[in-house]
Amino acid sequence: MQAAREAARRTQCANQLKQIGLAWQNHHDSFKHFPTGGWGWNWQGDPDRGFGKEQFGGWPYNILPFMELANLRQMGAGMADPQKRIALTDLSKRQPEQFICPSKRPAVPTAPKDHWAPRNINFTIGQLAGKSDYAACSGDPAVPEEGEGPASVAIASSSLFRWPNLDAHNGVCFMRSEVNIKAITDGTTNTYMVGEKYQLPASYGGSFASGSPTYDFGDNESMFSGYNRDQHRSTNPALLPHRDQDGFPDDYAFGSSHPTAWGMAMCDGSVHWMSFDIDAVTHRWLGVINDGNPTTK
Amino acid sequence: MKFALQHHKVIPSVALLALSASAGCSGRPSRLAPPVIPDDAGQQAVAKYDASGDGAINGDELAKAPALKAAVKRIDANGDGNVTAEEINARVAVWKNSRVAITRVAVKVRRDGLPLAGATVKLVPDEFLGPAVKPAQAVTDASGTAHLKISDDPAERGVNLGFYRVEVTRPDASGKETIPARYNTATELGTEITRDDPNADRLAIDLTGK
Repeated sequence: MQAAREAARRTQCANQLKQIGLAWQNHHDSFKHFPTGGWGWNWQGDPDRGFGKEQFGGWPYNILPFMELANLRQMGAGMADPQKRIALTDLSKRQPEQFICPSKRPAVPTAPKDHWAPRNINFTIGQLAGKSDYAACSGDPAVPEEGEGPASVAIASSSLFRWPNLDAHNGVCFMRSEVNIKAITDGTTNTYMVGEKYQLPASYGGSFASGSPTYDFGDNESMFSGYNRDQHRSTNPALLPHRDQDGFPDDYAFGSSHPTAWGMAMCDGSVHWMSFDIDAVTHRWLGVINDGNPTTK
Repeated sequence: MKFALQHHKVIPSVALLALSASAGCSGRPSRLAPPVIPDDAGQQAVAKYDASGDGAINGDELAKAPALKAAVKRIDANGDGNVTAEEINARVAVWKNSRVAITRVAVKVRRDGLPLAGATVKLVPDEFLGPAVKPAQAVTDASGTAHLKISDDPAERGVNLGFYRVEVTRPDASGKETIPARYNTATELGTEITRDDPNADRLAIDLTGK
């Protein structure tokens, strides 16, 4: 009975990944590139800043219109700053069920870190946020994250401001990325797009205070935030995917709550169950869009 | 990834139906257990490093304990400049409370400002933590970066929480060490691996001099 239930949930998880993959394809049709990764963990999406590198929010925010969730992507649109901050705070508390693996946890908002206060919204301690159990592939960087982002729009606009060096981020989506299909020279069929992320089971219900047993750095902001490990994972060969397990926070790796495999949408939109026994080298190059390496499999 | 030969199987995908047979019955994997650190670790530390016999580790004594020196702001809770046995035991309690067995630590090594590839970075736990806390190491890649690990055992692909000396070595082809002793045999580098500091999972090492 339990096995049948898990099989049904897993099928639903794969269907959600399929829907996300289609949304990425439709985003590409509309904007000629895949969704951008956004600015950093201390920013959240803004409906008036388009779908390119000036957009604060990451890929989950930018595919909303292609997931029949345009109402969420429109929250705060055209408003003056004080009203927009309030509307975007409301947005951060929404949990679209399509982004939660049904094997893992119920689709309800959960606690982010106890000091999350993004630059452009009014989020305060004690509020709950929407999360994403799915992460885009950043390529094979040691760390699929580049800090909180600039301190303000004015600072980011200054000629003296330098964005982080992003050379190590060679996947389909990362900070301020605008990757198009032509750039995926290894072929869309053979390149990771979005897959399930590893998470501490103890943090499924919320991340709360840093240092506590429920804390996971990979699930501690809202799903509408900018580039960070909540929505991104790496295929660095040191970061082998594995099944969620307490005692081992592994917040840069892919993984899942399923027993033997994690779900992965490729850049062509197809969805596969990838085995946790995958070879580290194969896994690495499936994550990089243009490495040109032949498979040894 | 590009494929040289077309008949090679591309993606090691697993059929949905084949998997479902094995699902559900096994339950969740059990929690990885953290290493057990002796209750008197703080007292052991003071016995080891308190050369002056005033009951605390302070001043020049901290230079002999690179890990305590690197983390002194977190350890010295009352800010009096003295690291006491109780303050060290309080840090051990913080690690214990997080219930983490192993965690990720990414190290980035630069020499004179440039990424250093091929350097071996070793985290050596301070002896007063007892034998359960294990050393971890890694070799940096072309970008000077590496993820430290105890071993390739799936339960050890990371780092225990603890106080560590950090040693960096990079012998040349003839076996001669190219990195100054203050970074290895007589290291001045130390760190605390903990979960209550969001930056403790990234270690930046900047080497200078010959």
